[in-house]
Amino acid sequence: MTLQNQIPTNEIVEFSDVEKAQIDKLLLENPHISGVSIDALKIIQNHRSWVSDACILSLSQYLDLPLSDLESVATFYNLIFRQPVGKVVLHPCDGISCDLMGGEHIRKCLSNKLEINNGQTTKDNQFTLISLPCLGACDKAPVMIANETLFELIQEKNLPLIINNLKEAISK
Amino acid sequence: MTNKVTLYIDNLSYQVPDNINLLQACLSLNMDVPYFCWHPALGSVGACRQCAVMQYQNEEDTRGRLVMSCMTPVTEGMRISFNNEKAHTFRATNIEAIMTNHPHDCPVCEEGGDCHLQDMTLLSGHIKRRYPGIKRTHNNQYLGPFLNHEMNRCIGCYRCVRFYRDYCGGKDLNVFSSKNNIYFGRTESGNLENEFSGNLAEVCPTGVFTDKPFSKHYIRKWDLQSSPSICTHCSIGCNIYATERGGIIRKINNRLNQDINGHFLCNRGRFGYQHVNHENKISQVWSRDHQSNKTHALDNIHAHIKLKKWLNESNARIIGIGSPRSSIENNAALHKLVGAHNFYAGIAKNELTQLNLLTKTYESNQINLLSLKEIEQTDTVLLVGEDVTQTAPRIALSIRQMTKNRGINKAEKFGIKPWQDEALRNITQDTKSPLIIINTHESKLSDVAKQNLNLSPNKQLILLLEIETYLVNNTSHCSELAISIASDLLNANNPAIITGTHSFNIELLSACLRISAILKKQKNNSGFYCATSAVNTLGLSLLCEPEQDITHLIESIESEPPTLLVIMETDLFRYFSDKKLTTYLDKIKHIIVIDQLITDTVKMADLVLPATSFSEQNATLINNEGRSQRAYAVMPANDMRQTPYKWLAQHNSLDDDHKLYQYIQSIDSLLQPLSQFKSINKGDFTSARQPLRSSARTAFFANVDVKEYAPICDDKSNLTYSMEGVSAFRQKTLDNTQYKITTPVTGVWSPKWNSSQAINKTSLEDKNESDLAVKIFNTASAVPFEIPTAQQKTYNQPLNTISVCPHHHIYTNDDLATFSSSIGELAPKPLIHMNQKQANYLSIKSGEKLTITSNEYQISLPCEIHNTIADGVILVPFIEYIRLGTNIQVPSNYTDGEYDD
Amino acid sequence: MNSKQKNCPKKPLTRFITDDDNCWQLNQYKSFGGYEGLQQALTLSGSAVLDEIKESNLRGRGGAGFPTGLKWSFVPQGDDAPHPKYMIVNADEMEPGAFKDRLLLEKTPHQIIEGLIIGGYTLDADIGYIFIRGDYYTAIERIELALKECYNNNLLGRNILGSGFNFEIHIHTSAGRYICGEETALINSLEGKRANPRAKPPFPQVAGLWGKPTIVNNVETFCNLPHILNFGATWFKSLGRFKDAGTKIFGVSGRVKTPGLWELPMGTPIGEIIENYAGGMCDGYKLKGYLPGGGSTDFLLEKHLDTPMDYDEIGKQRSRMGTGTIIVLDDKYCPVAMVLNLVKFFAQESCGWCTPCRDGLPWAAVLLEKIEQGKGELADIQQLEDLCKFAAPGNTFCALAPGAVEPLQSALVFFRVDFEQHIEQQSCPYCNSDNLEDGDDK
Ligand SMILES: Cc1cc2nc3c(=O)[nH]c(=O)nc-3n(C[C@H](O)[C@H](O)[C@H](O)COP(=O)(O)O)c2cc1C
Ligand code: SF4
Ligand code: FES
Repeated sequence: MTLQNQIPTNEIVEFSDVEKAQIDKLLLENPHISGVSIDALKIIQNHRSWVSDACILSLSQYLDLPLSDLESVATFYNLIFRQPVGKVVLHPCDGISCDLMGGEHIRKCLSNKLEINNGQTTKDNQFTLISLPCLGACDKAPVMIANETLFELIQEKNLPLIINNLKEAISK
Repeated sequence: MTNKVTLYIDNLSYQVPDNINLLQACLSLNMDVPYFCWHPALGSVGACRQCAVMQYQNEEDTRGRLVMSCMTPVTEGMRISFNNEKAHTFRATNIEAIMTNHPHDCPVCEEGGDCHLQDMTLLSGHIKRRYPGIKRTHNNQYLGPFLNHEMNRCIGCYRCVRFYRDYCGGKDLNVFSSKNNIYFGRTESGNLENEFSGNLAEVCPTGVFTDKPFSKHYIRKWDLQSSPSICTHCSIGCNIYATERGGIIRKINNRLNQDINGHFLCNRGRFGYQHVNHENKISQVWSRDHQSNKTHALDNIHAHIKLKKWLNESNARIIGIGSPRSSIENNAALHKLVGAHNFYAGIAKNELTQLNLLTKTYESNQINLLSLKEIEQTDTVLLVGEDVTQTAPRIALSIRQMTKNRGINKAEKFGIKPWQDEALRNITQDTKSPLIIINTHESKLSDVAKQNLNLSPNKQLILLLEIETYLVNNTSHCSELAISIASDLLNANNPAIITGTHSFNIELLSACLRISAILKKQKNNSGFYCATSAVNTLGLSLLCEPEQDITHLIESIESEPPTLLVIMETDLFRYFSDKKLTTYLDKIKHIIVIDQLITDTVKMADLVLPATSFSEQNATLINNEGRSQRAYAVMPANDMRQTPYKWLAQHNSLDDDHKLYQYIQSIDSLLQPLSQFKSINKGDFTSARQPLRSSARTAFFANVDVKEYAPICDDKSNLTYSMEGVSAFRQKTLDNTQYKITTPVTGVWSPKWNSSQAINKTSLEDKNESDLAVKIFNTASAVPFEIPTAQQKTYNQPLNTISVCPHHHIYTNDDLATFSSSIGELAPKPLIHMNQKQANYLSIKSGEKLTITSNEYQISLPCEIHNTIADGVILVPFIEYIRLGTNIQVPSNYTDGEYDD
Repeated sequence: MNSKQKNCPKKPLTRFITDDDNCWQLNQYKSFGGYEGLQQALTLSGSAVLDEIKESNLRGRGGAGFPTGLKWSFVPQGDDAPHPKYMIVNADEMEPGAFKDRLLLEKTPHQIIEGLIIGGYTLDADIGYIFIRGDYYTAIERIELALKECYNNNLLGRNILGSGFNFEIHIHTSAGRYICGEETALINSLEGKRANPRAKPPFPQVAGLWGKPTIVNNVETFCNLPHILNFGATWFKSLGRFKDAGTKIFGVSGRVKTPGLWELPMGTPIGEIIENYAGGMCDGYKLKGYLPGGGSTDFLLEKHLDTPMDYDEIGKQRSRMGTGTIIVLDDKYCPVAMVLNLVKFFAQESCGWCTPCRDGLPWAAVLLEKIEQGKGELADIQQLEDLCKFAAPGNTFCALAPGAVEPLQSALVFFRVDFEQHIEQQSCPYCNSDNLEDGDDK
């Protein structure tokens, strides 16, 4: 830190012991600090479901990496969420193999059922809908990932059940 | 030395240097190859794809393949085609793709007419938009007082971040998001922190980053009168183009000088010009009547009558004060007027001693005096006692580049050329050439330094003496630190010692000089560089006798007040407390001040003579390396302003140039080469300061008079204040003098290339065409001189444990620049800085006020704690430090001996 | 080496995969002969292993088919070679229609690790990385467990199996970006940077991760190594039905009766895969065309079905083997919609570095959308053709954009009528096709 460096007046967050332990472990394995930035962002997201401005600022102080470097990386990758998401993020596949098998229709049905567009979060903060490109399960199209589970061969009629099961999983 | 290779471009053969890329080669051959992401100082990354040409394997190959010329090294016998239709179509489609998101806002865009994107669009033949989609849009950010931000205009060339981050080491500008949504800015609105941010206005090929102060008095490039000048805001003497219209300085542009500033200026240099337009500028002669205590304007004739009367009073004792920010000509004129013994330099006591030491050493040829370009080529730097980022910022940028050399060498082993920027960085990773910084506190170069040694001045000196001892006789026992630094210097091929006079520490300077001289004996390639305080400080020091400094001046006034004191461009209140100075000045019968702006000193004058600013005079300035450079007026002097030497010409009998330069030479033989400058004042042809299209020029005075005024003549140079004469870009070297002085080029412009990027089209050999300079120490014959051994001071109380040291800041150090509102906005609040240990010792907390007194001055400022400050050091703002003088009493609650570091 | 009498398998890559859910674990893997390839390698010198790999004609399975042994031979060897050297498994698999690596990652993590250790031993590397797609949760979990098993069994760490060779493996889960699969972008990503591809030269083999020698290979490429060591290069070459050596995991997705993955000899004709293994088209659907190797390969038609899945042979038909996962287009799905989906994907995944990709692909997507929505003009087709040429190989910084326009450029040739119909009718002729509806039950 140099004399001229001003610490932005933003709020910061205190990382939990678990988060710190996980980040410290990364640092131990990697002699290059910048090499851990993406993994560290993912750790924070795992614990907090998304990465807030305050988190990035705190992480930049914790790792002693420039804030703008972390932000540059965080906004580059698809799976780092820089805005709050619901308890479960639904990732229906919008890859071509799924679309060939009616994927687009499934996504429309999901949108209708949850009353949100792609990229939005339900009012009750339960679900966020973010379609992802080809999920690598094309033989089981159409597919969706949610709650770290892959749902295969989705049909319109199964959607209510899937959503309900996910709701139950959250409440647990 | 570079060799030449033969290229075949569209079946014609050309010779080009073998170490460049194809794009550079084509441009220097005057071909119109469009490009965006390449920049001569930033190298190639191949992102924009605009510079594509067709390359063929051999004469038989008719298909060829498309290559990016910026990414292709030139090789012997290489065959390419620029005109090939496929290549042409590709380039046309490429710019059409770039333009899909670019707004149609040229008419309201400040880059318009000075826009690389406009030039390239026309060059590539894209006229009609086919893209039917919606353009992406962005929000803009507030980036501080220097730059506007208009992200919608971005074409994604990545130059800004490469310049700001990779070249300047800035951390707060970056690229965010991805695909066609990439965003270049800060994480949130706020001042850009880097001292070189202003260059973004020139680095950005379009109007994303534009010059904000320029916006406030905006003029299209084709209406700007422009001329080559020298930046007057520090001692380096960066080359600039000053631009003007209607008597107002509009903007400062970089003027390429490969030896000094290259392509970049610091923010102080770029934005410090606003003093010229300031409301406090002096535009007429003022006289104060002591009887009535009233001030009234005088005309020219009466001013001279008054001056003459005072000069010729019986018993007249006249003293003159010359200025380090004024030209050699002006200072010499005053020197002649008052006589050598009565001529004092507006330079602090210690600095003048430092300067004498420097010039004697330089003259003795014991050290190699470096240029900034040569600093960039060194491989180890020891930077001592000077926070260059704050005092002479452009040096810091050069030092930063030098740290890349080890990586460049490493990359060379992989066959990677220095201009292959991205490859170079991937290979380099953390590899850096050693930079060792010894100072009282950490600086902005710390991130690239191998060692940041924060030490009190006394400890700095001890360390340097140890290094010196080790270099002379490497068996004697020295600290490990000293040995490691000495070894770094010895292991280097061309090490450099860089320092400055801003510590005001004579011992440190002589230690540095001695180390440098010893190193030179052992390694002929070693070099030295020393920043001084102002643009002509070194030049002024050559004019005055030793000890004719500002402190001696006051002593002289005190012992025997003069009848007439002529103060030229010096604000004495920057050196002394108000009370002390006022009492002394009150004892003087007549005070004449020649200056540009109303300063506190001006307020004490009986006669005020308005002086021209840098923009209204042709001047010779000698920078810290003894490079004397010629600066040209961009506009005729406003109102009653005159160049100071002209004010004095009637009275000192130096009434023509011939006599003036003869007198200059007679003062010091080192000034011999300056006589050459008078011969370039008249060339075979004249060059125009105004561009060809300058509009409405005949209507300039329409509000005054319906008749069209004849252009004002400039009889001191071969530049005209009109469109008459050769256009800037067409000039060739006019070189028939002994010292290789060339004709000035008034701006950057080339057919089809209206933006300043046209500079990249000049052929590689001519790049220094506009370098109007002579290095005085190069031409001098060596005069023997023994650099005095640095003496470790045995302080008698109480400074032996606490040193009060000056704290410099880029935006407050230079007095003229502080008149710029954009600079002033970023000037820090005056504070006293120290580390926690020191604060504990003084039992003071952050934010509390600390009082420091000297014989005649006292400051009381809030404290701020920084742990990157050396133990035993208290930093006070530079201005206050100077006023405190050398007899500083340490803070009141200090008692000797208690403090233990 | 192949003289050893062993039961030489016909389907080496999948020989460890059984119905048992735990077949991925170390003990099961070993019981089928796992880590024998590594043991074999450890008895040889690194350069002997490299010779064997070169001899085997193994070509990279990540898409470009670059000869693996040749690639490896550029890594500096010997005592003064820079260290650490890195070996990276590219398990990012985000190519549309590609799902073969997931099978290997989930079912045979030890096969990958074994290949990686062999690679490390061959080139005297120090550190291995498995760069894996972030949403392959099962695979990530299993690889992590498998790595633990290895460390516990002296298959990783110091002095592996008493050979004196030290090797570590780390796993990095990607934060999601198709471009991370490009090997130099992957390296930047591992350095914690934006995944922009790097300029070559320097090639990663000499200056890659952290400026050190680095090898990046596809999952499937690594999986082949243990078997080449175990059964020999000659055996490996004999597996192929055409010029290319070995077997490959081929896959089919789209409206076929039994979409899936099968390990088959290199050179198996495309038609055979679609008909015999994928069961042919679903009832009521006809084959209109197919992308033979994933979303960034050129369309081929029915008339090309005899083409063997062999790098050069497919090349002759102006398409590419790619990942070997075939995407089938049926007669009821709009080809314009299909390329629109693909081009949109690639535009979305552009890293934003070079112009043709960053600004050219979104432009193409806008035109395709316009046509698909029935607002197209004939001039749009011309523009699309221009854009395909614009993003041709060599014109861009990496291979993403050239790959992106492959389906488009071939669709403009093979399905031109469809494009023209869209424009003539000012609507999509397929818009009433049942394909857009949930139709799996049919
Ligand atoms: C845009 C792009 C994406 C790629 N994605 C992958 C990928 O997901 N997995 C992979 O193995 N190779 C991918 N590749 C190819 C790699 O760059 C590289 O060629 C490959 O990992 C080398 O491995 P191989 O020689 O074993 O095929 C991709 C290439 C490009 C240009
Ligand atoms: S083609 Fe260019 S913009 Fe696209 S992914 Fe590659 S480097 Fe990035
Ligand atoms: S200037 Fe060559 S690719 Fe940009």
